[in-house]
Amino acid sequence: MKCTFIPQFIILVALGLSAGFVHSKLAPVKTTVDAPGNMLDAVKNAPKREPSPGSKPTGAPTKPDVKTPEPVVPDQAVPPPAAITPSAPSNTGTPSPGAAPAAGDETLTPAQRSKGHITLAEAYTLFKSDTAYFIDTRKKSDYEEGHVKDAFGIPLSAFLGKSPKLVDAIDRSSPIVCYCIGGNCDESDEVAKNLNLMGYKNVYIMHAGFPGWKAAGYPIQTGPGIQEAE
Amino acid sequence: MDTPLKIACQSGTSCCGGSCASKTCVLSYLAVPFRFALGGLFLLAAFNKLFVERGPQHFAASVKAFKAIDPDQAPMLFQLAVFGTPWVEIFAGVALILGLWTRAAAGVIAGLLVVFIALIVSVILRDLNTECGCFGKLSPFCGDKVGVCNIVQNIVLLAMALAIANARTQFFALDSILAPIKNHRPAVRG
Repeated sequence: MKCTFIPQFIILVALGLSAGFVHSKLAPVKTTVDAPGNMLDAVKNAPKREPSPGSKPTGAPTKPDVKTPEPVVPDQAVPPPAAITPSAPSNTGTPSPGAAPAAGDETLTPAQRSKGHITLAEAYTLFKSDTAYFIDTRKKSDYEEGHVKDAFGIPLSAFLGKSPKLVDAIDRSSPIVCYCIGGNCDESDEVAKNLNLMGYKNVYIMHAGFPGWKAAGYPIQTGPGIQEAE
Repeated sequence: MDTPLKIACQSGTSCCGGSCASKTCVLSYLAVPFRFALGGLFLLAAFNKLFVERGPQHFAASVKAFKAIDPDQAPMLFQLAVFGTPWVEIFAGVALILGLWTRAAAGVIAGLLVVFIALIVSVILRDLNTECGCFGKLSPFCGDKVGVCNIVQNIVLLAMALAIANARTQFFALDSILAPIKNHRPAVRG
C-alpha cells in the first residue's frame, strides 16, 4: 500500500496540472490591460448607458444626488465633433489618433496610449456619447467632494478579490473610463487591469484625472452619488 | 447479532486484524461519509472556479489579491495556479468519491489544504482585505472576507482528509474491489 502512495499522489497532481495547463492555453484569463479597441467602434456598438443600473448594492440611491447645478460646460470646452466622426477612424487598437487635442493641449505618449490612457477631450467625447460609464477610483471622501457627473464611485479596494456589484451591472461591450487624481496616480490603472481581467474590453483611463476634468469645466456633481456599498 | 463492524472485522479482507473495536476500524467507517463529503465539496469548489460564468476571472482576481504570485512577473505560474488548482481538485475529488487511489487522493487534498491555510494566514498577517475565492463566488461556510473562519474551516477539512488517508480499509471503494483481484492474481511462472 505504502509504495503506491507517492506514485499515485504524483500522478493525480500531474493530471490536474496538465489539464489546468491545457485549459489555460484554451481560455486564458487576462492578466494585463489590453490596448482598448477603437473608441469609435466602442461607442457605436455599445448599448445606451442606463442612468441607474438594476443591481445596485443596498443603500445606493436610485438617482445620483446632484447637489450642484448641473452643466458647467461652456460651449468652447466641448471638443470638436471630429473626435467621433468617421473621418478619424483607427484600427490600430488605440483611441482615434485623429481626435481633437485635449483641453489644455494634452498629449499622451505611445506607452500611455498602449495602456489605454485617453485625453480629456476623448473622455468628454465618450461622456457625450451616453454609452460610456465613468468610474471614480478615488476614496469615498474625494468622490463625495466632487466627481464626474453620473460617475460610479468604486475605489480600488472594492476590486480586491471580488467583483463590485456596480461593475456587474455594466455591459461587457460598454466603454468604461476610469480616473483618479490624474498624473501618476495608480488607482485608475489598477482598476482598469481588474476590469480587463473581468472581461471588459473597452476600458480607458482618463489621464488628466478628476482635477483635469474639473479644470476643463466639464460636468461634475457632488454628494453621495452612486457608490459601491462597503 | 453481528454488527456490520463485526462482520467487516471478521471478514478476510478486513483491516482490523482481530481488534474489532480498534480506532483504525472505526476510522474506516468514518472515512466513507468523509470521502463523499470532501470529494463533493472539492468538486463543487472546482466547478465554481472553472465552469460558472466568469468563474476563472473571479478566481484569478482572488489569486491576484492574495499577492502570492505576481501575474506580471510570472504569467505562466499565475495561469497554472488559476487553472491547475481547480483541476487538481477535480481529479482528487473524483478519486475520493470513487474510492480509487483513496489515500493518495486524500493526501493531495490534505496538501492543498495546508497550502490554502498557509496562504490565508499570510493574508491575515499582511492585513489584506480580500475574498477567499475558495468556492468561487460561493461562501458556504464563512463570510466573504478572508478570516479566521476560513482557517478553522480548512483545518476541519484537513482533519477529514487525514482521517481518510489513515483508514486502513476503504469501504464502498474501488480500491477495496480492485485490491483482492490484485492480491489473488496468479503468479507468472517462468
